[in-house]
Amino acid sequence: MTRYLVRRLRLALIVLFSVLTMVFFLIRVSGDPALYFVDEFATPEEIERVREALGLSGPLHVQYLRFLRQTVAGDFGTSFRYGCPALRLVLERLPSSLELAAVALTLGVVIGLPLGIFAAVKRGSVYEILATVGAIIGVTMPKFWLGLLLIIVFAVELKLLPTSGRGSVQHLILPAFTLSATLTARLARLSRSSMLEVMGEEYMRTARAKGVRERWVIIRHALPNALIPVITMVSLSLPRLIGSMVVVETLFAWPGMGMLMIQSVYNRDYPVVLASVFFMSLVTTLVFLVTDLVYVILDPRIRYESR
Amino acid sequence: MKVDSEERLSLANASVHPGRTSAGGRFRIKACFGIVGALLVIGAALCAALAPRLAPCDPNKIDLANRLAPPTFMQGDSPGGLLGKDSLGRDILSRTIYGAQVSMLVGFVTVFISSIVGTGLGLVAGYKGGIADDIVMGVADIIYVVPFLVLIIAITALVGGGTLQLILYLGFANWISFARVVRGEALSIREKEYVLAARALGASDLRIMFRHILPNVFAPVIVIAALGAGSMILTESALSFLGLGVSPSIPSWGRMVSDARDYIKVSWWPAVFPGLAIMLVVLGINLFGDWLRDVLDPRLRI
Repeated sequence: MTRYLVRRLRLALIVLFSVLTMVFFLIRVSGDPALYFVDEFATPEEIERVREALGLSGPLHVQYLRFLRQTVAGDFGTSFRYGCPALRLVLERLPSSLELAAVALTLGVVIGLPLGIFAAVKRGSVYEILATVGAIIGVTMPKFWLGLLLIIVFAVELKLLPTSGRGSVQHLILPAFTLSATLTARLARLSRSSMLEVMGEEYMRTARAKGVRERWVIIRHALPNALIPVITMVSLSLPRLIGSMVVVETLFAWPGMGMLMIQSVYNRDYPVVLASVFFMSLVTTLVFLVTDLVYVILDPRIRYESR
Repeated sequence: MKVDSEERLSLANASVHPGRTSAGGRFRIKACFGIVGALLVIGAALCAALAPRLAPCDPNKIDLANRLAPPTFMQGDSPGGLLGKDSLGRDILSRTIYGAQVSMLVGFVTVFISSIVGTGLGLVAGYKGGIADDIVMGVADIIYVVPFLVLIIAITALVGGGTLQLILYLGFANWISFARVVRGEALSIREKEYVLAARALGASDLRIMFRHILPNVFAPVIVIAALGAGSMILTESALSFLGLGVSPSIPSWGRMVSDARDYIKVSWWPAVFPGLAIMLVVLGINLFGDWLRDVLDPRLRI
């Protein structure tokens, strides 16, 4: 267990380090950030002074090491626009993004999972049709369009819910539902096929032969086995969820990390863009790490099968 | 790290395929869906190819006198045409037809690029193994933790945007799904007897990879490419919606929805029709891709 943990932690660190390196070279390709701080009449000496102040002087490898040292210390530079540390801006937006993501995840699980399970247990029923059609519509609808349709129906026509912003529970409903659509659809689809697979296993027949009631067979014998791939999928769909969050937050003017990132892109506020990209990658890396560890606890075989 | 969980996911699913669990009837229904999907895709491709002939007017012609004119099916004597006019009085039907061009271009070209890159890297990783495998799969893991849309936004913001650039970014960032599957197949094919035989006859690595392994991975690559085109079209439309996609002068569905956002309180049609177009095309691609998978490679889970 400890050895596995060490191996996984080392891997996560390598991934994060590589993301940082990728980010560093992306900035290098993007041209000279110093030029954003000076006007067009600046002399070369003035530009050089700005570059020095920004930590952009010296040979490339020196800059790279300095960049690594600063980011490890949590310093992503100062926001060009707001004049405060970029990481602090990102962290300030974290609670509202977490709130949205948590509600969307819950919605996805609460709607998608039972739909898929019922579709598998009662084949040919209305659940199966709902799950199949819903699954394909949920995957093919662009998030921004679904959100806009919901705004048109529930906010503009029916005037039931606010169009945008954050504050009350009412503000949360439309963005959370929009964000959860893909996850709901994919979960319904996967839990259905996973459940179908488990239902054909020998131990299901054994349980039934023992005279266990059908409901109990499904709850006790089928569900726990069917849920393993489902947990994997929820964790693996996190990058996708974060990506959609950028779009959904922008559409609903939800003041989270995604909207901050897009606004920083518009404002060419690179330190904030980088801090957000890094922070989002950090979150996914951590969630993947935790999922893998949960597996080790759930399924002892993994400890041996991993090299 | 992630590979571990993904492998478990595919292992858990390898033995089941919902389409095959019951007899031919289900399979025939799926074939019907596949045909509907193919028709939708062909329809969109025709719109893209024949846009100048099909569109009733110039997609960029501004007509401020008739801005936001409703579609004729809502109001018979409206000057709006079949689908109405947008906030600058441009014809929505014409713009939607022209919008197919960008989506089709992005969908197909990006998938073409990423299938070549991904198949190549996957072949090398799976066949050579060792350090090549570690590097390719390691890079795949790293790219995977950065959310795809966020990655593309960051590259566009830092390196610069434009239609061609966007296609290149999407094409080169999306190779992972191809590489994973091809690597897995190559790993198992490498051990087959005909590969051993070829090697015993003195065939070079390159020849084995291209003549003996590549033909065997075509089926999954085609399926992934078909389904991948849909998600590339969705990504392009999301980027255009955020104002980071193709140049504003080109009609694109994502940007049309984005332009319509400020006017939804007075008119819904500029927002609804381009979005519907995206959905129909992606739906068509997915239905067709699902059917293709059932026919070509039922074990594949994506």
